[in-house]
Amino acid sequence: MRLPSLLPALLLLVPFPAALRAAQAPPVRQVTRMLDDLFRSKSSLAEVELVSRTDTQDRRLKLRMWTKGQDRSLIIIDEPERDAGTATLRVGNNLWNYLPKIARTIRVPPSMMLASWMGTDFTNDDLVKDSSYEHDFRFGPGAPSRDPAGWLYTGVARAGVVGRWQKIEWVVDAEGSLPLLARYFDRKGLLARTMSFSRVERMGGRLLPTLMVLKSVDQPGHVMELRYLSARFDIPLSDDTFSLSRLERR
Amino acid sequence: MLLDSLLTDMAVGWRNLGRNRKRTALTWGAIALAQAALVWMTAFMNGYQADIFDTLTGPMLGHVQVHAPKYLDDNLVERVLPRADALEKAIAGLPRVASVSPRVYGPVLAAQKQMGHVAMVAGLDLALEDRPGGLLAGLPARELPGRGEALVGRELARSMGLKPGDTLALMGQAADGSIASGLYRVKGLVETAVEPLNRNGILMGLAQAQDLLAMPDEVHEIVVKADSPADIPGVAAAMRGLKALSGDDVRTWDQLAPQIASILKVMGHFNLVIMVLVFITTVAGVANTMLMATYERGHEFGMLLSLGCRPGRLSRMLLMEALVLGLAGVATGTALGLAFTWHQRLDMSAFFGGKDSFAFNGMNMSLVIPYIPRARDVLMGVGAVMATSALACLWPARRISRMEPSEALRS
Repeated sequence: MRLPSLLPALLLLVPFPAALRAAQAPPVRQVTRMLDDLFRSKSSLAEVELVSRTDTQDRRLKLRMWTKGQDRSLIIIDEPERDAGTATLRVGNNLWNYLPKIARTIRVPPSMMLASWMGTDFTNDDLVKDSSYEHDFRFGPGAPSRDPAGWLYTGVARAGVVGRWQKIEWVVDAEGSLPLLARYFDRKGLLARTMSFSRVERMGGRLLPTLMVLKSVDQPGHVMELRYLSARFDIPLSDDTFSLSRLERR
Repeated sequence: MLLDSLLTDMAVGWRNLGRNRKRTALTWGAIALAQAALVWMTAFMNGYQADIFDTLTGPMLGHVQVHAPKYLDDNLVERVLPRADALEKAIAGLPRVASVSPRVYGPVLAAQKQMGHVAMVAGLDLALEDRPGGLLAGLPARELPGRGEALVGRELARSMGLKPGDTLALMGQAADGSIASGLYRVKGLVETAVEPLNRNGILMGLAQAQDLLAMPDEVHEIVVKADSPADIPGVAAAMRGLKALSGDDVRTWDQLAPQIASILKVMGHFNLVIMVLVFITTVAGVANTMLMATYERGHEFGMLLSLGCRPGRLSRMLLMEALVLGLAGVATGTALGLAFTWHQRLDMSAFFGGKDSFAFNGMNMSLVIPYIPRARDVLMGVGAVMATSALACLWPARRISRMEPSEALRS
């Protein structure tokens, strides 16, 4: 074979780490389970800092987040002080916001699911629908990814699943144990946002990427950073933690 | 001398119209009907256009609006106009500015009990909006919301089961990024000319909305009205020249609602269509009458030519006959048209189940349209009829000019 015809093949191999070239892609099931469980497990409690930057303002929130299973979560804002105590409770597909200033709970109507959650680039739908990569998406086998280096898994929404995303691409590390990048494609198949994962630390007895950076394609200049400050997993949480009466008693 | 001759020709023309009264009456009637239709239709279109313009620019758009850059693209609550008081004063000081109305908008979740409903808070200068042409025009002062109170759009109130005196919880995002929340007593339910406000609107005083959305001395929109529609370009240009508004987005009503502006422009062309119909009716009627007159009166014309009357004089007599017929028809039509439209209005509510308005493009359009007859339109009809009457004589006149007296006498 002449050299010029070998060049493209050689160039394709150059960016991939040697380990990836030799290794097999981790099984799809292992990856989807990892994505579903990494930040939640059976139950979890985390302290998170959320920084939202737009062309008009910067905003910083400090939150505590409880989860139990895949359909119950509670988020309480601790900072800034003027918003402290504001809480969001999710049970199944239902979402409530508790407003301490007026001591009222308001249920978010279905028509507001795509609206911003607490003025951030997250939507209410993100809190409700981000349920299970294993069950809601059909992922193909991993393929080598160049940027970032790792394995690329493409998941297409299963028929009948209602949600914002038609397709999600995940890039995970060589072992398939940590996410590196996620690309979200809307129902028209267009790239809508990317989320990158970095600063891997040991937290709650497991290795986690503690910094997530979300960028929206249709809102250039909008960047949101989610920083894990602490996390505990598989802690005992009573069902009452996720009840409306408890929400209003806080 | 010429005037005497013209008056004589006119008198002869008038007398000749009586020779075949049925035919004259038919042509007269057709011209009158066409002119009456023109007066009625143009008066209706003028009224309809004025109604749309007033509905559009009156309560909601105004004539010129100011926003922060990009606000009209994404309606983000944080895109505010700072130093609102100073801006208002600077705009109000410009010549030919009739009113300056600052407004604040914020999307919120509204709940009476627990279920949230999508709503929009509108903070208004209540004293200004209560005047004629304002969003709350006609609302008695005692029904305006005070501190801790809000008015709710009637449709929103119906879907939420709200009634005056109920308490309403609001939640949204404030302009500084914080979470806005507040409790308000429902002062009353309102139906405005702006459909989205009826469907989603929660209306309150400007200062109260500024408190809720953390916008001290800030607004989202300044609505400006000029003294008259003709002053709009001048006022907009003066506003764009203000240093206080440099970098802000200043737009006129037709830039804000280009679709409606196009509709209004197209409606203006309808008058031309009616005008063409009047032309056709007149040409057909008068040409027919005059042509028949030349055929029937060949013998008479031959005799006049034999006695030394020139073909030009005969043609002038014919022209006068046609003009008198056109004038009589157009005068009758104008009288008829004005009788139907002068200080009258067209009430179409019976066709819409008794409703006096309907929603179109976010506006409540009236179904009771006042006729606005204008001298310009009436004169346009008069001119069209006279011109076509004269044109309709060309063929008969040409026939007379080629007439041989001896042949004509034998006819």
